[in-house]
Amino acid sequence: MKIELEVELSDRPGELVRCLEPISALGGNILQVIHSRALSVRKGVAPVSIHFEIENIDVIEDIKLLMEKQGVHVVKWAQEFVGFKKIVLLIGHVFQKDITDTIIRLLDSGVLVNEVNAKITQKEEVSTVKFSIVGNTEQEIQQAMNLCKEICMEKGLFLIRG
Amino acid sequence: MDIALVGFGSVGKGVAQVFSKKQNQLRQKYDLSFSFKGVFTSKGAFLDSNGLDLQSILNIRDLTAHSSWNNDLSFMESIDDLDVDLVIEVTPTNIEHGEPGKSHIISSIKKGCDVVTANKGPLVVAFNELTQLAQQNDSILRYEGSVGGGLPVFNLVRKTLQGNTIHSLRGILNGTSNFILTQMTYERTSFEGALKTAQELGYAEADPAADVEGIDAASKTVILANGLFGMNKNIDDVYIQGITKITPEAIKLAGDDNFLIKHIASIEDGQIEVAPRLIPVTSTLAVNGTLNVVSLQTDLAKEITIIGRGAGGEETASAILSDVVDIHLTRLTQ
Repeated sequence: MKIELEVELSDRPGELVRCLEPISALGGNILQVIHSRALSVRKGVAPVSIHFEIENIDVIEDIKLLMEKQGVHVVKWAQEFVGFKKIVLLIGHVFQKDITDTIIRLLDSGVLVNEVNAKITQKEEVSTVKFSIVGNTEQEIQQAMNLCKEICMEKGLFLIRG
Repeated sequence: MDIALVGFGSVGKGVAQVFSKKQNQLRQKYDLSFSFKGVFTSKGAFLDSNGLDLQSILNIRDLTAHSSWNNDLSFMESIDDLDVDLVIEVTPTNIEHGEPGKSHIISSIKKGCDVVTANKGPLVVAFNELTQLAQQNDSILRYEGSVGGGLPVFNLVRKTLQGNTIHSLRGILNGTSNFILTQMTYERTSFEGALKTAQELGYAEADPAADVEGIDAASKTVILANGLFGMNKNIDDVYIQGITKITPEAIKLAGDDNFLIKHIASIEDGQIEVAPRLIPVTSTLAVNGTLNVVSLQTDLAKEITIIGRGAGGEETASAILSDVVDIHLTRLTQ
């Protein structure tokens, strides 16, 4: 997982090293550090942007705690979304069979539906619709796929799963 | 080893050709000498208690002109008088009742013969019945050629993945539907256009339903589920979706995200199905043309994938030959 954080450090020697120590100590791999004195809005304080990646996501909270103990002021903490994604294709009278209802029922199951893309064939006005189902766990995705299968059976749509 | 060959279509002829061609190699390498005492066709049988000359049967145009020919004689009529160790059953398949293959296999087992078959029908309708009957009669029943033509799936698991647990299986088990989807992907044709090309090239039958509706692949998946996973499934247990409704637009939308649409057979979490699926272009399942592929997820060896030709007389004969050699070697050690 990649993490981007912004901290405010006192502009004193050794401060940056002290701030990075918890990341390195807990297995993080520092990718980029931008130390911008020019962007400082308060005298003696410098904003620092740090990008790092870490395999063991369980230690993220520990890194935050250690930083706080070191007196580092974390302004922003942004984690890359770690989720599961499956693409599906629906073929048939997808729009006539109320695509909004199809999507809302999937959203209600707790997943996200995005990247919706459609192509319509002149022949019998059959449409082909592609979208992504994004969830936090594999199980969540599997449940959404089963629901998608049910909806397609109910609406007479042809489903191709990822 | 005395053998009877039941069925003389493209696979039966392939078997005769391969055994004729490999005679010396089999003797030298495996100490296997064989003699075909009966070859049964839909119109009658060639019988010779001293062993038939396979090449003369393959070459003859008018069957009735052959000195060993018996008009209208069926295998079921002859079995009591046949003195053979092994029966190769390759008659046309019927997945509704399994006949005539099922009766051929049952009679052969009850007579104490070992049986090698590439006939899906009997295995789809009566897998457990046949394997149990074979066990009770100390008969060996092998069926490598019934799934994936020349692909050695069952022997791979039985002989080289001992100790592994097979968690799941995914594959492409029908060359015709794979050819059609490949044409739709790379030639940008409609399903109808791709089917026409497949028929012109001889890859699809005049009535392509069994291939494009997924029935053929589902039959093979049932045999894999029962043979590899110890299940007790039949064709009604398979969730089947064909490929006839796939549009060129679907192929294009899939391609935009680097996916291919493939007709995938799967056995996962006790569920068996044959359906079009989105497969990454980099997947080991992304094989094209008429190729078949089987990918196994195992606990120790992890993913094992085999790719090859899933049909054809000689390819299926290769699987049958390997079963015959295996039975010969097994019997030698007993």
